Amino acid sequence: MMITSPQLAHIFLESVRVIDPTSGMDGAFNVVIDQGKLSYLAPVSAGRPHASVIKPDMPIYPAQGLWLCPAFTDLAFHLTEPGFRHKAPLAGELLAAASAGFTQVVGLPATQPINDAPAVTGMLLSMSAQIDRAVILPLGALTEQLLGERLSSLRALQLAGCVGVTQDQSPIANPVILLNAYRYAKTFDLTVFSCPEDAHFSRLGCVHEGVMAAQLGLPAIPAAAETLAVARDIALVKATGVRLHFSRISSAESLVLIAAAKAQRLPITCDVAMSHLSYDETAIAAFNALFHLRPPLRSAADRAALVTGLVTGVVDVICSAHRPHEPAAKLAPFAETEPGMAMLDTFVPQWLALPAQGVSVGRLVASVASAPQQVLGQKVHQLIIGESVNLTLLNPTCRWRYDVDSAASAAINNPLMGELLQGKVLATWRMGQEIYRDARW
Amino acid sequence: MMDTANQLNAQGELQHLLTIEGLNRQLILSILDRAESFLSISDRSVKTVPLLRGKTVVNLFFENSTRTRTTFELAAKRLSADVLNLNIQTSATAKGESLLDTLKNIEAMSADMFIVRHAQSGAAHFIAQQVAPHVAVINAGDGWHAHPTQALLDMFTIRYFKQDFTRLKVAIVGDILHSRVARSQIQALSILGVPDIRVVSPLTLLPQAVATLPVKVCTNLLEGIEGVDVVILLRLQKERMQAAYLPNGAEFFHTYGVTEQKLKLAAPNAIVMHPGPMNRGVEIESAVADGPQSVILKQVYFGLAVRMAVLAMTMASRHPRG
Repeated sequence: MMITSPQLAHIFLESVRVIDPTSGMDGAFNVVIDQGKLSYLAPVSAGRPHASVIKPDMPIYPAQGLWLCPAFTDLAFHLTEPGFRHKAPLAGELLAAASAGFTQVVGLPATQPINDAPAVTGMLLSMSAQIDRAVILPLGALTEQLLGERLSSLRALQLAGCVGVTQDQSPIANPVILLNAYRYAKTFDLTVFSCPEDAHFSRLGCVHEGVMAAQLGLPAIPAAAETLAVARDIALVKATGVRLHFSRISSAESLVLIAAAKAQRLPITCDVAMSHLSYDETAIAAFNALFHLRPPLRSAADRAALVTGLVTGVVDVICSAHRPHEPAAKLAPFAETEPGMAMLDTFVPQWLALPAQGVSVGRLVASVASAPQQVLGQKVHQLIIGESVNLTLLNPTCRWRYDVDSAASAAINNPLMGELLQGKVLATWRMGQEIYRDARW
Repeated sequence: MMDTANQLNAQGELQHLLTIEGLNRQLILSILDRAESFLSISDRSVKTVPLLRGKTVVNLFFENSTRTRTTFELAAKRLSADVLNLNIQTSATAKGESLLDTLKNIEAMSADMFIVRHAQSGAAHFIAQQVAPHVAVINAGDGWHAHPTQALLDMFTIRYFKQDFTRLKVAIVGDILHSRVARSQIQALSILGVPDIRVVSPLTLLPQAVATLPVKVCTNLLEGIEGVDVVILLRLQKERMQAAYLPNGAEFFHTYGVTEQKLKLAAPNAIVMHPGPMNRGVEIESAVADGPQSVILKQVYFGLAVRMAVLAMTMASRHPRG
């Protein structure tokens, strides 16, 4: 894919709905971005900006009904390079991330080679800079080769640019190794990202131990496989003081444990994948391998609890867990297919469906904008006059058909392929630069 | 119930047989009736009929089986089909070829029907989605999911001995969790209107969502078989002892094995069934297996006719090629 260098944002957005939960802003504003920097921001009631603010070469866009939000950050993004270019070239996927409103994505370490050494981290960062769309924030492998035996050079990974460390989905069975790993990470103030799965259970099954496993005879993973690991991690956070982020929680019972841990003011946060807010186990009827996910889709009650967790704030962040696959990866009997869903194209439409289930617009935006940045310990994006903009502009009501032609991701392992969806990002600005613009806008 | 497996054509006829789920009572009974008409063929001097003449039936067995494969082979030959037996374990997939590639290669040999056994649940569904439209797929057992022809031959056996399904009490005893046979039997018994279906098993060998199945759960064998008309035993796989599902075969036999003594709790003329192969002294006492209430060899005998019926009906539902 040919990608040209981004242009600076330069536009007058007339009467756009600015939603910035951090500063409590939600209303109709006139917004001027001049050569990538915010030069004017005032409520529509204050009248039209003075003519001197609007430059002669500046497009004026009537933006009534559009949303302007702080740019999004994804906390779980499967990198296809190095090693898995055949699934979808990375350049296209980082542009697809920008098309979903993300300016930065946390890249998981299970690449090939695995990101357990500074050289790999450096390679990821240089690819990211070269592609120049959504930026990769690499997570380092907690142990060498993710084998759960010897610690990776965590300090060196941190200095090379890793924003945290994780064992990803290669759970460690031995609690002694985990305790030491967390203690060592704490030494350097590294955030540990934990995908909670008991190592023994996760090898056995591919679907939730529930109604569909009973019907279809598929080997199952009980919710207890997750709660055992969550409980163990919470105990280890108490023992070590490490900052821990639970990645891709799938069960109601885990949220009960996490809520209790947060009430004790432990340094714990968590995210949920968009797929698990949208679907439950019944989606795998007739062995539909597009819904083969890890962790597995759980019961309807679990899904409802995840949405409630988002409302109450127990769930901090929604991540994409974007995992592109080549078609052959899903063409096999269910258990032999590769888990994961390509989420970037449908992320915003599915995210926009959450307010109808009780999630406020403020929480909705925070869950992809300020909250993931706080998990990473970053300064949160805000709309400040004179500063380069980090913003996502979207149309929450436009309808469009998701198909091979309209898809931004090269991967089509998404069950909504062919459907009419509602809501689309029009532009994404990172550090003042337009890293994505919808072709029809 | 919906035809989520897409195994029926627009007229509601079988175009594949992948699972019992989604079949209606009338269709199941028509398969049993058709099987009945084939029963006498085995007793004739010329044991073939020309219903599948010129058709190629491929036995695609990715998992070991002697009995099921043999009865399918015999059924196809009695219908005058050309039969190809492929033992996939020792051929292409062992060399790393994907299931899909294996399938496309065999399909290119102008196969008309695949009879599939595979260790993965859903394998037959997957194959049915991938084959050319003229190819019929019969599930001969996929993982823990389904074994529809076994369930149909069991229903045939039950109807032969008990006639009316709507007053029966049936107990299925043993490892329900890992049993494709049990899942298909439960669906068939339920569709045929059996009012009292019991599963008898320790909690480790039941699906955790067993409450969503149309069965009563008994963890006690004596309660489970009390007054039942049909006792169905399931084979207990030896490897279950290794993952702590059970302590050992002796304890299972003591607690859940059906003996002559315990069988007295069932209805006086209850029949005992087993899909085979049996573990004598684990799930069943020899005296029961060989006793007067056992209909286990009858099941095998009926199995041939039932498989002939399934083969004939799925092929008949398809328009001739080209």
